[in-house]
Amino acid sequence: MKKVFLNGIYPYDEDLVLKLIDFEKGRTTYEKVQEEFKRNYDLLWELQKDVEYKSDGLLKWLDLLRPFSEIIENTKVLGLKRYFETNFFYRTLFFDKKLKIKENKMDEWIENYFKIPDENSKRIIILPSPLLFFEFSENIKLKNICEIMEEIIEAILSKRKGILFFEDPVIVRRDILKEEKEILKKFYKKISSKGRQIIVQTYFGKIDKVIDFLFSLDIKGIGIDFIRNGVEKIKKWDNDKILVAGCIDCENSYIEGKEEIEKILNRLREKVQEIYLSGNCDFVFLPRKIADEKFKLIKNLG
Amino acid sequence: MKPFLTHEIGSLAKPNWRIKAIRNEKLDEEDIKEAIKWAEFLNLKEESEKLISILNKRINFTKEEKKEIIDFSSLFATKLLEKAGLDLVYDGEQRRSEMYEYPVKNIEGFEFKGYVKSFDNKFFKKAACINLPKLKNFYHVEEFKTISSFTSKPVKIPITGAYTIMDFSFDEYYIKNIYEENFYKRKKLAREKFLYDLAEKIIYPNLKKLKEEGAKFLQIDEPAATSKPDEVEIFINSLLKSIKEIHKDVFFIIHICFSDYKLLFPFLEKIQGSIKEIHFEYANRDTKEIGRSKEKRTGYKILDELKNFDFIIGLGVVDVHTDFVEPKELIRDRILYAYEKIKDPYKIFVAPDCGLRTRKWEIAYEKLKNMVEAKEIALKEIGF
Repeated sequence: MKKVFLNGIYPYDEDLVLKLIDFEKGRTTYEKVQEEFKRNYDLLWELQKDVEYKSDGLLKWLDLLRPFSEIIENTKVLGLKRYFETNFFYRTLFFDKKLKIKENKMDEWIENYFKIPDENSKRIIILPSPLLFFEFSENIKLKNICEIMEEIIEAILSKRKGILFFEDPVIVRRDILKEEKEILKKFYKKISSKGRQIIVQTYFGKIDKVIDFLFSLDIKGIGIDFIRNGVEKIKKWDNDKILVAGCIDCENSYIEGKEEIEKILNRLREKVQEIYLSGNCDFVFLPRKIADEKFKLIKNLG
Repeated sequence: MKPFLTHEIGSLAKPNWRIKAIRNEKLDEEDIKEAIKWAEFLNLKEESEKLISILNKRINFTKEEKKEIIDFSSLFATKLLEKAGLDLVYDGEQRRSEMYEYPVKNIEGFEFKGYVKSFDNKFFKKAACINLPKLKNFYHVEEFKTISSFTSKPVKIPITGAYTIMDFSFDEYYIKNIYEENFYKRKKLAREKFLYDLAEKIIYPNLKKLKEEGAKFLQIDEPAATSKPDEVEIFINSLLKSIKEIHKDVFFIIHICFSDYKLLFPFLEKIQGSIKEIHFEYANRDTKEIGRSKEKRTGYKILDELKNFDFIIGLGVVDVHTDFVEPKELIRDRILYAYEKIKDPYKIFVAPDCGLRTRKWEIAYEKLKNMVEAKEIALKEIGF
């Protein structure tokens, strides 16, 4: 199987985009839009047929936090907030003080947001890291985010098998407070306690300051954005952990040469035993055709 | 200038009859009824007879007919803003596909690559720069002349700025022409070169031409301005390179939205004098509750710092991403909260947060009408 991850939110193909635009203008039906989604999912399963951990591209996720507004009681969806340095906007979530999972909604929620091609497939279960969740939320503490996420993760893992994949641009973009580090340590320790595999995928920032902290966490792997970090930043590697090398630029349409990526990989292999490949960040910043091309490129090398 | 002068920010939705006609999709009875309804509402019944007769063809419109349809859509939108009572008007981008796609189509050296998401289920067609950018034609002149012929009110033309065009685009050209071992540095150097070329070779000539044609109000749209904190300085430089001496004859507005405005503050002094009005989105981050306390007006915190600069404050008082029609009392309080900070009604211009293209015309009109009426109430309250 190919050692590659289709990380983050994946773009729609043009037919689905046009169908969604038409739906909003009242020019097509909900059913027609769903047909396009189904076709897009099928294309993604085909794209990942020789990949161990599969993703549904989070096609139904309007951003990495929005699904949680549907499963946590009394959540308000607020105004737009820029997603770091991109031109993609999230909506901030506002939480009621008493966090509670909605009753009798979980199965349907998992079915909608964590699709799998068949019951035997292993999934890359992509989630926002607690820090990312915190960054785009109001009226909530990091500790409470961890608690509610633990509950949600338990429910997901009762229905899906695979590897947990936390997206965390925040950890490489700002100084993390000592108490935040403690909370994160406890969180990952608890989640991993039943032998669960966890990857923390960092992007949009430099890894130097946090690499030792990441090594200290009870996680299986670390993702690094090699568009922003030179290979020389990896001075030593804890070979208990796998490296998810974000070695293809998901922020530019220019398609890297196979040799360019191989050059990076060869240098990484001198220090790291187990490497998976991924985009440097979500593929959603690219049009679908280019995303497919870039994913195929890393798949062939993975 | 008037106290609490009102204007819109750019886009309005396009009527279905315009979209379908241009896409060569068959119009139905509802589309015709829609055109008649708005013609009556905007007192354009007589002028619109020609439009209705063209639309009744339903499909296969000729090139000339399509041009007429776009002109009517422009006329309707301009009159809608006039009827809402705005002081400066425009046509809501009826001639443009979209704020990014339209200019890029008029610049050589770009190739469209496909749709990317901007938020929720909203997308834009993203292009890559594949060659040295070159202006194909002055792409706002016809728009300015036509809209000016529709109205006796001053016309304000929004122009997508160099930084936003650069930041919304992929770069496959400059990156190949920069030698630098460190990939990230190479990318940054390429972006700077790309940006300054756009400012000097594309935006400046367009602005100059508009000035020569008589434009008095020009708005530079830069929603991406602060997207990369380490590039805010080059954004400011690009603005100066785009405007040069033209600011002596033209009132320039800069519009930035959904951004971290604080990042601009270290550099704003550089554009004082060149840019007269600085317009941000505020209502999106504000509460919907009536009142003038800082707890109620959470979206307007930034005014405490912005008031120290010499700009007219372009005040976003209407959220463009919701159908909630802000009551006059709420808009009034947003205006008067700003007035308490700025102390001068001539230094506050009242506007929506951004373009209203995602709202139906009925909603856009109600929001704008309330905005104008709220301004009157606010003026009365401060004795104007």
